[in-house]
Amino acid sequence: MGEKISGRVRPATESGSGADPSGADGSRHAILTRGLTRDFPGVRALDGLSLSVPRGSIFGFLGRNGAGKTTTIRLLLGLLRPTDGEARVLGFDPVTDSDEIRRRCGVLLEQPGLLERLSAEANLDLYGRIARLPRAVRLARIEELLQRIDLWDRRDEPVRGWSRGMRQRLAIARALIHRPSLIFLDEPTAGLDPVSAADVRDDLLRLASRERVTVFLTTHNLAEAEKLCDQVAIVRDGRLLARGAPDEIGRYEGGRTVRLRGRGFNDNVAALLSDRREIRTIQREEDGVLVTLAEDAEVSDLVTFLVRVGVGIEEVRPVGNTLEDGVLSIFNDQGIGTLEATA
Amino acid sequence: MSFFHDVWVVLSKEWTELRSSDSGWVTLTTLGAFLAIVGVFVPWQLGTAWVTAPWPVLIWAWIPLFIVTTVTSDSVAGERERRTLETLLATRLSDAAILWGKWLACVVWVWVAMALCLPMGLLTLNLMVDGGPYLPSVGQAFGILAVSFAGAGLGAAAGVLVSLRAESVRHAQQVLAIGALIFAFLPIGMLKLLPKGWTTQIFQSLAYGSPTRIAWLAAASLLLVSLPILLVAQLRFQRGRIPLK
Repeated sequence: MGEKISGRVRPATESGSGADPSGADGSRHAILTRGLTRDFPGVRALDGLSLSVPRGSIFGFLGRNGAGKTTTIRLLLGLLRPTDGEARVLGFDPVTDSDEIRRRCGVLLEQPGLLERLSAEANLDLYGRIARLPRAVRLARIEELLQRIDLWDRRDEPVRGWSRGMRQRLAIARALIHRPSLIFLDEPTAGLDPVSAADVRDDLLRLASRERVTVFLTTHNLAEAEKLCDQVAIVRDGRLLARGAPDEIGRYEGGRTVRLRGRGFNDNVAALLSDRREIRTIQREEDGVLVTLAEDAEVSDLVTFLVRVGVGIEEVRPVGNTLEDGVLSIFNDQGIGTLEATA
Repeated sequence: MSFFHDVWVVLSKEWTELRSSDSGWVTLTTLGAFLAIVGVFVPWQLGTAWVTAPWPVLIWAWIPLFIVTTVTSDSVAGERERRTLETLLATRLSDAAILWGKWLACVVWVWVAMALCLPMGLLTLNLMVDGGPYLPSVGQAFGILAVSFAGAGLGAAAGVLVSLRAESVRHAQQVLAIGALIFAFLPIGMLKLLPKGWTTQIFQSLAYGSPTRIAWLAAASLLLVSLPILLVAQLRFQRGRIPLK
């Protein structure tokens, strides 16, 4: 797997991928883990996770249900103790200094965790009081956050009547009430309709950029991760498979993908192309081919060759490799299924 | 001071939730029924014995002990069931502040309801029975309030402990209801094991002893039993040890 990875995408086995949790580069990283492992009776939920999350980034932690995403968040917050390995969150050890971590972090777990019988304002006020914000600061902050997510006019309503999307947005605001340095968001758009999910994503991007907060986001929605995240890590059965920027993961196979359309594409031409050194993969399409080029291949050489064999080229178009493409390739290499790839 | 601030925040959160429970009128009806039974019906039926006899002290201990278990199971197991406990645990609040805030909120909630029953009962007694006024001594009144607090404290301590491990609110309440019944009837069964002279003495104390002395003795005994339970609850109420959904 390692030799296929290009750019800065790193395999889980790469040494030092989790940096040194107790090292000096803690200032550059919001989260560092090394060999983080957690066992439950009969199952290893997390298996030697080594990870680094740069400060100020939106970091996507991708995996199917049961991949170990929620366990990771619980370990980083000190809600669970690791079986093995170590971690630093904002420079603090979750085992010994979890109070300091929770003081500096905001959280939206799998469920919004809102007090359903209370109003939106009362929910935010409670967590502002927990964070010991002075009353005047608290009230101003509540108004600021509710205004930003367009829920100020509904601040007095009990949240139990609200849609899931509205509750998620409120829960994100709650996570930010005390201006944390880092927020953990566990599947913030799971179970939402596309419009609500888009609203949550927009709010998240706006708030994260304005608050300059590091976001650790778990999701199994690849399109969402691609839109939101600067860096992603792919985890499966508690093991880290790869990490990097979404476009780097998208180019996991290496090389570029190009769509060639025109007259004269037939099986013979496809066979000739597949024998060429610069072609990594080839896929026949109705009036052309979709090819993945080797790293050092030139598109112009390919076009010259096709013209020479009698093909009338009408279109040569690079195709952007999506995160989904990369994840599919990684999972295929592992001989396993795919993540959900919904919009 | 910060610890007390955090306990107060948790306590006020619990009270706000209790006050704004599913339906305001259900809460009021439940409280009204409780006051009608404990504050009116019981003293009316017991007559002057409600004030003069020592054994009604046991009522002041057992009722809050039983009632508080329902409130506590909702506060701990219910919060876990509603998936709000984990969010609370993910804040800067200490384990102890959460535990004591919840315990105190449940105890005071039930204790205040019991305390309201005392003037109501006295009013009922003096209106229904001739030959008054029937009033407890100051020591007896405070003893009654103390035994109610201690009963609620014990029930809440057991409630926290059971709710921490229970799979659901219903499960917790079932276990606690059985526990409360055992707590009420086990001493009666154990009396048979004591030497006859002792049993006679205990019955005589309950029938003719000083209500004030019995109340304070019961309060002290209940607090003594509560302390180790609370200690175990505090040891178990720790992040990393609390089972989450």
